[in-house]
Amino acid sequence: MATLREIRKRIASVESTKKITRAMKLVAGARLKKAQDRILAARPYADKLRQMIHHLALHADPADHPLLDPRTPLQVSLIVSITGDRGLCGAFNSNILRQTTHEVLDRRERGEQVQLMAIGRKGYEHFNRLEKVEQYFPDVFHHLDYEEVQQVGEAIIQGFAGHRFDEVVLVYNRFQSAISQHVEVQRLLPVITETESALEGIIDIIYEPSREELLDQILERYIHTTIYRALLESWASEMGARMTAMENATNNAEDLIRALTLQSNKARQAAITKELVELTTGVEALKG
Amino acid sequence: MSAGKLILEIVTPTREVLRREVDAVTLTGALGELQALPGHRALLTSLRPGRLVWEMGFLIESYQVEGGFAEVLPDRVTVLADECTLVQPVGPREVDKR
Repeated sequence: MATLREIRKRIASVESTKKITRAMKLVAGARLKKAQDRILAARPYADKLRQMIHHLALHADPADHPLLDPRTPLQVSLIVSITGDRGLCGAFNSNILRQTTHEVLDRRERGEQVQLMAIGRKGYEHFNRLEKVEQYFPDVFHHLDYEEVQQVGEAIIQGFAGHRFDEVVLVYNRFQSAISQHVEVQRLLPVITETESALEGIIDIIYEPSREELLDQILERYIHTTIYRALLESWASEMGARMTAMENATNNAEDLIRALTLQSNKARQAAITKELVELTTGVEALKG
Repeated sequence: MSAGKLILEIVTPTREVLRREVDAVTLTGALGELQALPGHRALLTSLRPGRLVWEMGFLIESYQVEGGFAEVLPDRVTVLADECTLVQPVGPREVDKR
């Protein structure tokens, strides 16, 4: 049995771990709130933009614009794996890594080639050991803003236009609630448009400067917005996951402290009893 | 939808700026300034950096818009601005302005 001293030392160490996990939980909680607000704030723009694209694409042939045109046969896919920069957030990162691996293997089985892009350090570190990561954007989450995100979009649009890949897929965590997020696989390019829209009846639309130019600009904007949104979702999910993970860790630390305290009390009592027994035995021996 | 009014919505990638009923909106489109009144033909335009002014009765408000898009439909105007800052908050129209 561990000595009293050893047990007390362990209690102290668990206590300090608990302090850290508690602090991390609180920080994640505060950031989560902000991240949620940002998702909500970004939503109207994204929705309106999608609507506009559908309106625009309604009377267009997909072949009209390279970003709308599905390529056959599909030869190279770009998979954008969005993870966090840091760990200690439960299955948040590993879910993405697993899904990304799945997507990669799936495509290889079909005889397609795959390129990887990593956003977030965890994904990069993981895949850089096993595969070749074509492009890596570090520190995106450090100061996540719309301008910053555009460089990711530019890289993707350029690669797609330059036929370096024929399809772009995002793999990221979609935020559902603080305790749940699910892995979303979303095709970014070519852009899929719906055929139904409120403008169905209106054929007579004025385009300024021209439909081609508008489509060009709006699609570009759409790519940026979609990526921005995915990153916001991922960031909120990460904070939610970390909050939950740290909550559990704090609870576990408390359980452990309780168990260790019991053990230490027992050890203390045992020591006292032992001393008493020795004392009485000594006294009895002297008497005898 | 009340007759003879437009619903104006302005959104940016990071927030919703405005949503309200107006009489008229003046925008800086790709081909120059244009004013949308209720019943305007469907129009989709990109925006150049410039003013956006809406009017409602004697009220008027203006914004500076940094590029983006606008969709004009007979009963609504949707502005997707890259950035949008308030220049002159809602106030009564002055006779000599505009």
